[in-house]
Amino acid sequence: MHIDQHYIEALRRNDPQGIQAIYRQFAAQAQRWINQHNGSTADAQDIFQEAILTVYEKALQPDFVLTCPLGALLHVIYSRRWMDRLRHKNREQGVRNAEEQRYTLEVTEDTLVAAEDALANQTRQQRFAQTFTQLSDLCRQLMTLLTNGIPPQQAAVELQLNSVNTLYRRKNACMERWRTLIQSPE
Amino acid sequence: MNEKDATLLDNYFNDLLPEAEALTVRQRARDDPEFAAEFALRQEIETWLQHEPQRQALAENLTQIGPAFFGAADRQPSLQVVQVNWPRRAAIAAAFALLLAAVWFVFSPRPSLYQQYAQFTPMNVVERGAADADKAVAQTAFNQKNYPEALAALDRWLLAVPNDPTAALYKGMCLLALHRPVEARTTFQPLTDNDTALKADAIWYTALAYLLENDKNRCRSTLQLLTSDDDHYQEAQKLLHDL
Repeated sequence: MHIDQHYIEALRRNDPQGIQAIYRQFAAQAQRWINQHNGSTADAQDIFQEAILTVYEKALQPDFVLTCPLGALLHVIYSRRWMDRLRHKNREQGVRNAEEQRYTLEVTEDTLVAAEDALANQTRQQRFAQTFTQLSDLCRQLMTLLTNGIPPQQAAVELQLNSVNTLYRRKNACMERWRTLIQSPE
Repeated sequence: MNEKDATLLDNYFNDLLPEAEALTVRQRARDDPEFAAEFALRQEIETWLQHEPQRQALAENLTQIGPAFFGAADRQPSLQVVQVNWPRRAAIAAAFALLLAAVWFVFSPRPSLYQQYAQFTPMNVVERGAADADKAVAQTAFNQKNYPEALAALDRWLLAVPNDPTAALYKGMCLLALHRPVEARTTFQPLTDNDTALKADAIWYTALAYLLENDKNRCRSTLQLLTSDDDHYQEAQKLLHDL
């Protein structure tokens, strides 16, 4: 376990002081790097927030333990995200390879593996989020209520469904639809 | 995946299987690769749903905290060593202090519009001598801002007295405080749809739920349902002005 694990615990607790410590420690470096690569301060703030959320998504896995410095991990994640965004905008063609090589050389293998893993996980979670929004209002409300521990009887009343059986039938249909959306090509 | 297995997984994840059958499902998820893949996907979906409120809460916190740490570097004056006389040095110091104050003013974290307006009326439902444990727990927890515990007590109260308007109103407020605006709105809806004594409260907090979701149009149209005789009318007018 790396000494920076306390930052992960702060994210897990959504602890404002711990989050401020992360910004205090690492935000300036992110801003400098993104400014140097044609990004604005707003871009830097946005990309840095995405990087924190990417780490957080990984930290939601109960067995996740940080094994590299958080600063290095965030650096690889926001660098890659920013380069992806530039590529997406068709700006700075040709920069990507050189830059990737540069920041790849600056970090350890452990950090790169952790960053790749976190980025892949984030892409997967974003797929869930994106497809969830494509479900009907009823599906989203129903699944949110049940997942948050609302008793099925009460959820059925709140959603004006005739019975708990109807509620489960709707939920199963919603789940099937969601499953199909997740597995369909993007 | 055949229909039988799909139903089996539905029942498993809806907690409708007896423990022995649930154990068999978990065993199959270890032994049968095709079934395991479906099981894993369903489990991922359930986990994603469970984490969504936490994700939203963190994202909101980052949005609040982040701006204070970005941008200040752009605006710091370059440090140049120049020879100045004392009055000029004093003027520069004053200007620098003013600049710092301006930077602090612009970049210090400030509460969002939602946070400015999300003031929850304290709960006062327990009568002296009354022995309703859930009400007492809900009231104490709510007034101490321990919303998860208050919510659990309110759910027990609502199981005992379904559709109790006071319990429903405070349950909605707890959900709002826990950043679960969709459920909060669903909880307020029976109160906003009927002429109860708590209708105006429910409308006000429904508008705050929309505000939390950054749905300003619906927030505005909900606020406009309040009339001048209603509680929260003045706050509503102020919020409408700020939107």
